[in-house]
Amino acid sequence: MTALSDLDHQSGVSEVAFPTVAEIYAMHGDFLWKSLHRMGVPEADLPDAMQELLLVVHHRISTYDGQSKLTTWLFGIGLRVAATARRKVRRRRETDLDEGVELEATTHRELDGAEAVERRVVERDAERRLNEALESLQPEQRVLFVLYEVEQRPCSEIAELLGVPVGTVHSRLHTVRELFFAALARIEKRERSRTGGRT
Amino acid sequence: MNAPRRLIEDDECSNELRAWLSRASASPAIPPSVGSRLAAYSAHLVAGGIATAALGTGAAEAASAGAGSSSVGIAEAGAGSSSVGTKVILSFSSATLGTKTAIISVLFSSMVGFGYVASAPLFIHRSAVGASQVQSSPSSEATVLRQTRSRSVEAARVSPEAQNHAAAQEPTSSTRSSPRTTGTATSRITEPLPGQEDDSGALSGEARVLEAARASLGSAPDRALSLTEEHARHFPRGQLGAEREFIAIDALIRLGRRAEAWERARPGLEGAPDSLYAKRLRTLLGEPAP
Repeated sequence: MTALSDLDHQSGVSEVAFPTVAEIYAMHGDFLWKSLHRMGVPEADLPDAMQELLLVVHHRISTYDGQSKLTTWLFGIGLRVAATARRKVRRRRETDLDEGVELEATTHRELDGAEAVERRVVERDAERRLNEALESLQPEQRVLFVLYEVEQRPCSEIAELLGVPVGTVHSRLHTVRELFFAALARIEKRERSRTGGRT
Repeated sequence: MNAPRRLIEDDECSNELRAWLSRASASPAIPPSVGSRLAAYSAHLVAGGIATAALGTGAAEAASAGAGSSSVGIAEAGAGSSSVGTKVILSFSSATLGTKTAIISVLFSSMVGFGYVASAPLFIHRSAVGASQVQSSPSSEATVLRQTRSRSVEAARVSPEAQNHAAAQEPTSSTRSSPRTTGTATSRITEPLPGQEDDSGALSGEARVLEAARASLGSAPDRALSLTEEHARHFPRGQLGAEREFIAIDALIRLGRRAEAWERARPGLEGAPDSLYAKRLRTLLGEPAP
């Protein structure tokens, strides 16, 4: 896995005054793609979000003054693009029915025994609650959570990416974790109240 | 404050949570088919790009950007600041770049789904233009070569000292016409994100208007200026204000309204005189203030 700290050194872009968006894509495209995903952009929406990001980078490159790392600067733009993409997804979900999930459950029910189905439904409910708690985080909070808890990146790498001291990463991790568990508790409470305590 | 123990290693966490974390996979890589389209898209942006137009010193640049096994090459020949919309070649084969054969690539047909192409100029024909120097990378790996770099780019090279400076510049200028230097990256990352309150399509809309303005610079600078005014009217809190001002200043110069151009550039020049943006403005303005 490429260390985040290596990204700028590998590219040599920091030596170029005005990297073009094509250069940035060639050198940092994969990093940006993964970052958008970590920030909560669904895989299906990544191409659109990535294109939006490239467009913004193209228009904003003149405002990059080299004082922050290029990856940090790009990351900041990615956060905005991800926030926009997530709002689109949220709106889309509000208008969608959850028919797909129901259909899937029915199919399993037909194929498997009742016990297996019930176990799978419970697992899926837990997963859904955890995903929802993650979804409740802001993009910058979410990416921190994913980098540390899922990808298990060292704090030093995360600090470099975010352009903040390691100590700040530590304190933000504590905050983000509290937010995550608070959201999870809220979701569980909401579901308990819906089912009258039968969860 | 130390780093918290990772949840996946914490026995006090529920099994559900730890199982969920272990199932969550690392973020996916770009699929090759999407990668090549995105490379083409970014190459397309550069081909009509403001940066090159703004720096246009007559130097030709050749760049190739590839993803995976494909490579996309661009050659652009510019003459002064009128380099916008000059001849461009796009090809997946680096071998073709050295020839003088005009090539029409079907590249853009695969980009229709991206939505932005229609609003941007398409120029996928190459002919021998002036002092254009076209060189290609022999490598099919993702490499970027700048064969010739304009003098102004060299002049605007960022010093290592500047790069090591801890402060980060806020990339959004919002309604201001010049980039601003604010606090630290710490404050930037925790502040509400500018543009979050905007409609989701606003940024794309902004970009489209500016693309149209930029495309008009060479042939109809008055139209370009009108479009920047449209942009300011429709997106008073837009995120691309700095770029709008740059295009407007360019248009004013082309219209012979140099005094107005200088007046309009003043906030950008005085706000952060050492920034690349200011250097870019000075390059565009050329001579001392009238």
